[in-house]
Amino acid sequence: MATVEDHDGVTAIGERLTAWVRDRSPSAIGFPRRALGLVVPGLLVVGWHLLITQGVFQPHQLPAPMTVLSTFVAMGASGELWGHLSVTIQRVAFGVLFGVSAGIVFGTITGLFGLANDLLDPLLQSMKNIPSLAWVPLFLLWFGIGESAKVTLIALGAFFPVYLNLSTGIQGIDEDLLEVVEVYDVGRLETLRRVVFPAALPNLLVGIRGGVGLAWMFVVAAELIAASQGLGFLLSDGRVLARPDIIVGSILLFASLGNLSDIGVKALQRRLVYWSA
Amino acid sequence: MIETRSLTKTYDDTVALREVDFAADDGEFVSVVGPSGCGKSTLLRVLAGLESGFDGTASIDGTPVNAGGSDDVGVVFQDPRLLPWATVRENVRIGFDESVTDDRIDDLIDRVGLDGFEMALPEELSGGMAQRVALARGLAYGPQALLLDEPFSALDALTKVEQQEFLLDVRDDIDATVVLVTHDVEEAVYLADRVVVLGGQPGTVVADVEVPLDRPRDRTDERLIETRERVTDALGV
Repeated sequence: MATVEDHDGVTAIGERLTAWVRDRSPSAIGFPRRALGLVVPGLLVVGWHLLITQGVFQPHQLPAPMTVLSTFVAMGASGELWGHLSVTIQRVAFGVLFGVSAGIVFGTITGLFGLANDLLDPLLQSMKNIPSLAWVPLFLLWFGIGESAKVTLIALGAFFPVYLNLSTGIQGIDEDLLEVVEVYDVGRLETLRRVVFPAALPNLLVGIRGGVGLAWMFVVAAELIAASQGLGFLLSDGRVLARPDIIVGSILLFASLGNLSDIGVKALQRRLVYWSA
Repeated sequence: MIETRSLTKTYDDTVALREVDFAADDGEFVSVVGPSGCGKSTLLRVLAGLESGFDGTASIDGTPVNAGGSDDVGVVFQDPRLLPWATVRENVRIGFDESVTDDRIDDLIDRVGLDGFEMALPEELSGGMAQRVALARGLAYGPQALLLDEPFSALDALTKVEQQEFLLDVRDDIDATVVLVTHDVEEAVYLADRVVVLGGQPGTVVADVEVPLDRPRDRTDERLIETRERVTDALGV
């Protein structure tokens, strides 16, 4: 009878596993579960506070959470913070705008035309592997320390995910749907408008999500090296002034801004890609 | 009139169809049956204009079929192949000219029994309903020929019978020539005026069986069962 028991045991594990996987699916996540995401960060802040009050870390290495908060509240009250914030957000916004636009253009061209893909894709594929910091000296040389160097760098970061996802999305369009279009003699432009672009839209949005994420990485690179304003500048200024509260606070601000923009793009994604649950 | 003469279709090294002479008269309903891999779907794809490069001729109403397809052909595939982002109405519109009015589309949607579902998305439809949207799309334009590639094979038994009756109803309203490819002998005999049996590899026509019954037919009619046996014999089952 051992075999039967083994079999039942295996089935039970299988059922538990499927229940577990099903439970973890994104569709099952409602509001109360999302609130759970705040529990661990909250505990970390409490732990952080305790580590400082117990003297494990010296305040000049790691400031207490309340110190960080009061520093930034003061900077907000004096108006200094808003200048840095708005400059950084503006850079990211323009970088994303240009990067995503270029990504859409190149992604569409290489997705639709095999020749363009053969000509451009190997180059772009190897360019995407260049680390963001490696571009900085070159861009400083070309554009000086003005805004254009920073925006170009951010645009470059936002470009690649959009380009790659859109291009593969268009190339990977369902052959079965193209046959339908062929049977019913749908014109070229109509095919693009009604079939190809909608089919690639989910990929485009995945690309934009990645692009916006990378834009936040690249803005730090740009502002750390050559800026007199912005969150990245604040970060390096904190190091120069030996103010860990400013450094930690800037990092946290970057995290929340990145998070907020991602939530925004996700909302856009859900709205535009309404057909796939 | 749908016609192929010594149609031979080769994919790389494999010959899918060899010297197939096939014909369907105007308004005739012809089923094509055969075992898997006999090239019956290939025959339909050639007629639909989805295969480029074949030997012999294939024509619909005297016009040679070329890759790119003919305006006069409606095709229903095994799966509905609907655009998931488009409403039922927009999916049916694909079969029309861009300038068609909503009213004309909605008439057609009504005719396939989906009145009220014009604005539904494919994901909201059952398998049978989705296949009817595909049929409506195939009937747009009032095609001379309706080509059906195992359109009911993915449906459950009950829905399948429903859809078969439905196809016969719709067919009464139009006078298209229908070619139905299927591996289901019962379905082939019940629906068609004539059953063409393909066999072998590469596929050739091995039998051509008339179904000597008027419609409506009784599924348990003796003559239907006899015809079914003749088809089954030809298949060598």
